[in-house]
Parts: sequence; C-alpha cells; structure tokens
Amino acid sequence: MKRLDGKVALITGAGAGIGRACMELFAQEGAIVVGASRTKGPLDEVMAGIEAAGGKGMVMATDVSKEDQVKRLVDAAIAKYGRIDVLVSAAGVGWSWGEKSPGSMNPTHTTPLDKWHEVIDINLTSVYLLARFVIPHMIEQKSGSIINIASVVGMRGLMDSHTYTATKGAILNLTRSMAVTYGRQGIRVNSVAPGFIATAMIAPALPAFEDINNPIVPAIPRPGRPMEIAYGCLYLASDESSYTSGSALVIDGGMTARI
Amino acid sequence: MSTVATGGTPFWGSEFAGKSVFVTGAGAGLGKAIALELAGAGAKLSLLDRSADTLEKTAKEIRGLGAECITFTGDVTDAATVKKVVQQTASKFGRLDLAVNNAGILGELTGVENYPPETFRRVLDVNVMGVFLCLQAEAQVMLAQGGGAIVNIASVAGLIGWGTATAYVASKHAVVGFTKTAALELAKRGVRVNCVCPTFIMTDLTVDFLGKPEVQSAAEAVIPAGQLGTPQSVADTTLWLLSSRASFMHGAAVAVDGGYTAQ
Repeated sequence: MKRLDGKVALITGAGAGIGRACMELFAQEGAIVVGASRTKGPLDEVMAGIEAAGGKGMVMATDVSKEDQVKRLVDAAIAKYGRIDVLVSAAGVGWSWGEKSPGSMNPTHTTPLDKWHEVIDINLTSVYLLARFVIPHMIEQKSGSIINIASVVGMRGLMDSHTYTATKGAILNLTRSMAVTYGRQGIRVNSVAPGFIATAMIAPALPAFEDINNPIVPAIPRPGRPMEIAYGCLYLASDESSYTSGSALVIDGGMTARI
Repeated sequence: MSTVATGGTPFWGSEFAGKSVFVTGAGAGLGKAIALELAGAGAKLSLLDRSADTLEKTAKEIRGLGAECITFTGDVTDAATVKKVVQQTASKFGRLDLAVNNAGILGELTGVENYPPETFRRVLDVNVMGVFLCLQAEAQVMLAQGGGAIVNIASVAGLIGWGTATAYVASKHAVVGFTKTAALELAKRGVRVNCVCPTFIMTDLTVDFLGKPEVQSAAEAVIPAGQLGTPQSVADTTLWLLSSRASFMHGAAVAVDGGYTAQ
C-alpha cells in the first residue's frame, strides 16, 4: 500500500537535489506531484522520469521568491487538482551560490546588502510565500502537512555563509509559529534539518570529507544522500507522523549530536 | 481513551519481515503498541516486563497476529537479568536486529522541596540505569554481528521542564543525552541510536492523572493539535526510526507532541 495515495504534493526546488528526490519518492508512493523550480529543463527531465515510472503530476518553472509567481503556481495546482495536501519547500541556495553570486555566502562584515536580500528572498521569503498561499486551502480542507527544508546550520553558527545560516534559523522558528497557530485546523507544519547532503549545493565542501578529523564530518563519515532526506519528508507527509508538528527532524549523520 | 495499535501498518512491505526485535516495558502502554505494530509488520518479538500477567496478554495478541514472540519477566535495573535476556534473545532468534528501550516510570508529582529522595533514586534507576543497561547489552550483541538499530523512548520531559515532575524530567533529559553519546560512539560501527520524545499520551503510566477530566481538558488546551496523542502515533514514529529509511539519522530526538514543544 502506498503512503500518499490520492494526495497532491507541491514541491519546490524540484529540479535537483532534495526537491527532486522528494518528487520521485512521493510519486512512487502514489502522490500527484506538482514540481516547481527556476528553470524548465531539469523540471521536464524529472517529470519525464516520473511518468515513465507510472507516476502523475505537473511542473511549472517558478521563481518562488516572487509573490505573483508563487500565487500563479498555487492557483495552477488548485485549478488542475482541486487540493494541496502536502507542501515541501525545498528551494534554496547555499555554498555553491557563492560562486554564481560573489559575496552572497560571506561572513557578515563583507556581505553586501543586495546579496543579503537576495539570499533572504530565495531561501526564506519563498517559504513564507508558499505557506501563505497554500494554508488557506489547507484550512478549507481541514488538513495538510507543510514541510520546510531548513538545515542543521540553522541551529549552529558558521564562520561564513552568515546570511544562509540566518535564513535556516528563521525557517525553523517560522515553522514553529505556524505549527502552534494552525494545529487545531488539522494542519501540521514541520522542518527537516539536513546535515551535509551530496548535492550540487555543497560540491565546494566535499573535499573536506577526505579528512575525518574535519569538524564538518559527522559521526557517519560521509555526506547524506538526497533520498535519505526525502524519506524524512515522506514520514512528515504521511499519516504516520499525525502527532508530529512544530518539530525539526534532524537528519545529519550525527553531526549535531555533539558540540 | 488509550487506543493500542492493532498491528500491521500496511506500508512497510518487507522492511521488518523476519527481523528480531527486543522491547522493554512491553506489557502495556507504548511498549505494547510498539510491539504490536512491529509484529503486524512481520517482526519476531522478544519482550521484557516486570509483570508476567500483562506480558502474557501482549504476547497472546502478538501470536494472534501470526508473529513469533518470546517473553521474559524481569526488571531492567538488574544488570545480570538484562544481559542474560538479551543474549537469550539473540541465541533464540539467531541475531538481534532492533531494540526499543521503553520501560520507564513516572515517579511522583510533588514539589522539589518535598520530593522523596528514595523515589527520585528509583526513577533514575529505572529510567536511566535501565536504559543504559539494556542498550549496553544490545550494543554488545549488535556490534559483534555488524549492525542494528536502537530507539530509546524518552519524553518531551527530556527537552523541557515540567513542574512537580523533578525526577522524571531529570531522568528523561539523561536519556536524550545518553542517546546522543551512544549514537556518536556506535555510528561508524553500524549501530544507529535515536530517541522519541512523546508528550501527553493516555497509557497505563499516565491514566492516573491524565484520566481526570479537568486534567485532560487542561492538557488539550495547551497542545496545538488540540488533543492528546495516541500510542499508535508513537509506535509509527518508532518504526520509522528503526527502519532503514532513517539510515542517516543518528542521535536525533523526535518529538511526537502535537506541537507542544514548539511553543
């Protein structure tokens, strides 16, 4: 039996990494998946693979930091499928963005103001915008599960990427506020806090894993797999987490089990 | 109000089929719900509890689901008993794949200035020493066989304070910390350790105070979900942490609390 049979799942960051793993896993588990990310090419590729495996859904190129585009995305999902049962906000930029957008992954005193706003918008404003437009539908449905992808560095300090860490900490707490507010209306809101996961985002950091004494190397001395995060999202999307809300599911190979 | 799992979530396929699992405090409450859920998913169960009667009732329900079950009557605070029971489980089933350290007591609900030291000591003994003794015995077997997974049942009282529950809170905080240390030590050697932190769940442990209508409504009023949790939801989460789907989770404390600790 499939955990998400008949459920509609809206997933951002769907073209790659964690978002893509969620698309594939949720479709396997019977969900109708609606995937969004900035560029169409990778989205089409993901959807083609899902359909070839017998799954169903749609994709829409969307800049989730823009209010009008998020509204358009949510309206399109509702128009086609009538409901949204699960929202996975997995869109975000991190270490690898520092190469594309110099200054965006710096420490505070060398982060230009426009880069601060850029990272806030892509990582945090998007989480708020998606929840803002999806929650009214979940209230009407009297049910829903929202899953926000934060990070373990939302709970700890780092010596660079200060803006990134700020957005991830904010996501953890926005999640809690949403959870305490919408609980009685049948809506659960949780975060996932991944450690280092083998995606394009942390490609610059991968060489560090060759030295097991490097502090970023967790108790399990390897990066996580995107599917290991997607499984955590599946738990949070399914009825088996029916009493779990406002939590941060830490999936980090034991990285934060110590100082 | 306590709804015990009927066993056999249909989602797990062959994940738990034939796996051998040791569960403490399995005679009633959360332990029973977890054991039944695993049995329904095809696991072989070994149960430890202080009370032979309740244990036999649980075992009967498990065998009624078609699952294999062995039982041991004993106290988790007795090192020799625990070691013997775990080793007998491993010999009988060939290996020990999974374990759930659930046995625990509440102690009294009394102000710290009056809390009886003997009760405090007993709570620590069962809730902390008991978890340690069981995990140590399980780890010895699992390390020798190359791997396994363990879930400790902590509590939201392991994350926050709770007035009048001095000993319980201290003990559950210890379980959370102990879980993280064990996870760090055992991760590279194939043994995964995590814990679950439930909140107000109606069980035999909690019915004495949660059963009072004014207490139940007061509890419901402060839980964002608006209702108490069920043993089923704790069992479901425990199975997730035991499963291979949680392969990158080590030392995590998962709250099953309807949003209580998010406030």
